[in-house]
Amino acid sequence: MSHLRVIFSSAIAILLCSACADTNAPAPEPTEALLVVNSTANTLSIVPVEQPTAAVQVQLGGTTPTPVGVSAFGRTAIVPLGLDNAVAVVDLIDRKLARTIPLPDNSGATGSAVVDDSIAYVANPNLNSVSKINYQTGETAEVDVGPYPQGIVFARGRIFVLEGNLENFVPAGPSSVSILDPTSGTRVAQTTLTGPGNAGFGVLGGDGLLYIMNTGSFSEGEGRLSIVDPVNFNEVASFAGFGVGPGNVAADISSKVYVSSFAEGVMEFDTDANQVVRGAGNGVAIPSNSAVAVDSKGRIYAIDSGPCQGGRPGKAHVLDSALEEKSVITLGECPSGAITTQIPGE
Amino acid sequence: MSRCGGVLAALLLLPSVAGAQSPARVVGKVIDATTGAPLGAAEARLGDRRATTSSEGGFVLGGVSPGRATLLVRRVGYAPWSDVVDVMPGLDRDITVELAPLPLRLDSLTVVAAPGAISISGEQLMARGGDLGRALDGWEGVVVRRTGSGSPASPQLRGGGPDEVLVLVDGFAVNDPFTGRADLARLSSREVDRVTLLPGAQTVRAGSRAVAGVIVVDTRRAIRPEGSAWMAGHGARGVRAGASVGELGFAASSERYSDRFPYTVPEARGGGESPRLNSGGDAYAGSVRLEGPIEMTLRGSWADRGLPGTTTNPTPSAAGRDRTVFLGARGTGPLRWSGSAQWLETRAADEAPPTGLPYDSYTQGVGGTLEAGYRMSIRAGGWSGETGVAAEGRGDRFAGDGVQRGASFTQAALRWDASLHRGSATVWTLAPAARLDVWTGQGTPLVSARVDAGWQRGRTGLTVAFGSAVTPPVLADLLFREGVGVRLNPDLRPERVRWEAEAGVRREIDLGTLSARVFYGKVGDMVVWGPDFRFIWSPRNFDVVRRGGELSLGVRPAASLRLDGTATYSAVTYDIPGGAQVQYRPRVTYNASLVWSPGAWSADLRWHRIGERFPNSAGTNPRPAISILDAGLERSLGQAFSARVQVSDAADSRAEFIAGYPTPGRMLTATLTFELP
Repeated sequence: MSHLRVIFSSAIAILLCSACADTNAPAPEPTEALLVVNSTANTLSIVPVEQPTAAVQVQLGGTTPTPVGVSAFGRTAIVPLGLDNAVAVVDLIDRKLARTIPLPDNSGATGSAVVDDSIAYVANPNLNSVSKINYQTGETAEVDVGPYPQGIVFARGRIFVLEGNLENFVPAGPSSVSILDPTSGTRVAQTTLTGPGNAGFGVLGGDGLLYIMNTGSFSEGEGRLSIVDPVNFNEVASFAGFGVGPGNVAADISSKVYVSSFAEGVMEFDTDANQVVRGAGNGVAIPSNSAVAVDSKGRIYAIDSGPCQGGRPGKAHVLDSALEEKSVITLGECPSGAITTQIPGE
Repeated sequence: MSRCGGVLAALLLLPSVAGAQSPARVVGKVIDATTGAPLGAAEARLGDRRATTSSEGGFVLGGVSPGRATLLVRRVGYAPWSDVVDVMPGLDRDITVELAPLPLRLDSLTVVAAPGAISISGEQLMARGGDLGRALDGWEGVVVRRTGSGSPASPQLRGGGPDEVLVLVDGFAVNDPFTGRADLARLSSREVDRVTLLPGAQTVRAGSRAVAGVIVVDTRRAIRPEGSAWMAGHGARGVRAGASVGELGFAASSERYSDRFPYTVPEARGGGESPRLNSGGDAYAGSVRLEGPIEMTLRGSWADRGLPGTTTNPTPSAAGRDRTVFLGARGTGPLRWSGSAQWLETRAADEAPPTGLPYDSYTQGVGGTLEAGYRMSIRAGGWSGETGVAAEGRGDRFAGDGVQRGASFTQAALRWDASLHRGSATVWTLAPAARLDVWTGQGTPLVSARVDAGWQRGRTGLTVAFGSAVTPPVLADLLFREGVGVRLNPDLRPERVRWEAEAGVRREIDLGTLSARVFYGKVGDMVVWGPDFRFIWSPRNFDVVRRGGELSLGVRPAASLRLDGTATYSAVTYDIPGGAQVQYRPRVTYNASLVWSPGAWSADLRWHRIGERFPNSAGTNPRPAISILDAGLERSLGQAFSARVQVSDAADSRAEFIAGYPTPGRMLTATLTFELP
């Protein structure tokens, strides 16, 4: 009898251990990836940062697409398709186009931000609105915002819509930021930025503040970086000195904000010192620098768009934190928007 | 007595007068002088009577007035033949014509046409489509690019662009001097006697734009009064008429384009079906031609049409307007000359575009050409033929808000060419040519050259060619006015075929003809428009490699049945490792057609497939291949009338050659035609 009890107890113990083992098994490691929109190729490059040779390009389809930006959450990337007035939803694990969601006519969608595992916001610059989309179901709803919204940042539980204030592609005045409640889509606040207008790119810095690039006229050297408090919804500082046509911005986890510029290369701002470290005339000479991204290890990916024609691919120049080039990754034709993201393990 | 004698004489003469009024026939056969093989598609003319030989070489000229007249027989690839024949009242005159293969001259163009030239008769064209755009699409690798119901139908060849094919109508280029593109839809198939295709780099002999090939159109002469009226789906309809009075020939047409035809909405726009709005319009065209020692041509066209935009950004308010007037004259003989003047006007306006500000863009231009040359016969070392030199000049001037201020362009060229042949049972041909070009902004004269050689024995012919070509960028690439989203490229260079080699074989088989051609060449600085990273578009130069081949088979298993098929492969890739196919240049095309004419009825079926096209230079997101099936049924109604019913795009593919620009799908067309006997 005692023998049977021992056996029974042992079996129970093994079962419990087994159950405990399953419950406590670590989740598969996520893969950190560089996502780059190749504009004229109309593809999304998915580049595992630790294994760049395993990069793939996902074709985004569409009819007359002009994609320039990407946002991501979990296994999903959102790529607005510009003139196609639609959004491509890419499954980053299956590495394929999952669906295409129509936006309102004449949307010209450019910027986007993903809120959670089903909701994303997309800016419709031609309609002065943003579309709240459920990328699982394809449902959309429109929210009116300020003039020419072209970028969106999701930070501190709020949607920050960067309103470029362009008329016929020329700045009509300073830009503004509309702050929306991501659940209801209602506008919580709006603040005006200092500077030349044409705000289109923003990033949450390591210090918790929002860094927004006011590109200004594409031909004038008037690029200006605005710093916005995402809690009090006001601009707290503005820095000039970013030259002609600065664009995409990225931040590392500490104190660096990097600014890409087709004319100047990669420029740098220090959020601790509140100063421009590398401004116009002192950028890292990256040819045709259309975008910049930073990974969790502080590596900087300076995107070189190349000629955007003739089938010549663009490149990502991988720089260390001292802005020394360490390697080069081949991308698709005309890479123009880039982020890094964590793709969950399968 | 004298009065009686007169009456008697009149009575005696009466039968012969009556006999003189009895029509006779000339029945003949045309054969190759060296091989004895019957020659189809040759043209026989006697006065105002005209016939085309069957595949067995036979022809019949009916209703011929008795007496002495000159019979003229000609065929591509052979020296023209003429002789005076006596036609007896009410009797058949049998004659066999032997044509000698020769290098020959097609209008202003000297080519080695035997045995490499490719031609199609007007009758065959009419069975393929009402206008040349439809009729030539798919024939021998010709791809006609359309972007809607009334849009220009511009031909592409061997992976070239629509501005890289020169179209000559009766010796004059009809390519738009601003865009460089020819609109084949403006030419009715009924006006055409024959079309000859010369693929490959041909600028040396034919002039600028002929980087990918030349389409030579000979229109009909001595047209009996004829006309046609047709109605089609989605509101399309048209009428046309033509006639000759003495040396004067007239033609006029009016057409209304299809509007509100259904198209398949892209998935990215929600899918389903929607009417294509603002795609209709009206076009009118007319021409007058004077034959004689000096030939003159006057052509004009007038078109107003909607510009519907892409399916992703349709616009209901955009409209386009085109007006053009062309006057050309030329003289033949040892001293050859030609001249032309052209006026054109275009306007595009949209008061409420889907993106950007309202616009109203207007361009007006005048241009002229002059050419003079001298040709002479030569004979040396067993070779005989002719040689010639010519000088060409061109000037264009444009104004309006669509072009730069003071936009003008001048070009001058010198050309030398020769065409020689030798042998009888085995015929060798040789045609060298060289050209020197200089134009506005091109400091150094550019030299190009080409040599064609041919060999023919029996039913088999071989051709080889090697040469270069050069053409200036089209004026629309050089002279447009910068605006939002478009930028000039001040460094734009001329397009050059640095070298190209090609070879072909043609074999007459028992039931028809089999031909194959291959080509390989390097094209430097091909001009291709594309966006930069901000989607600002500019024309830029790219080096490309083009290579491929064409395979054609035409058979006539019975007198009433004709089958034709063509398959082409044209790889035109950027000259970099792994370079992709140039955008919107299909790599493969297939065409198959069947014409069955058992009597008063005639039925035809045509299938055309255009392979994938890339919308970008990265070789990604290909547009799907297009298959188009057309079917027609025609019935003669007495001596003068015929009726035709055609189903275009029977499978309702709604072909979209360029992304976002669908064409009408399945459409029924009914046509009534008359031609006075």
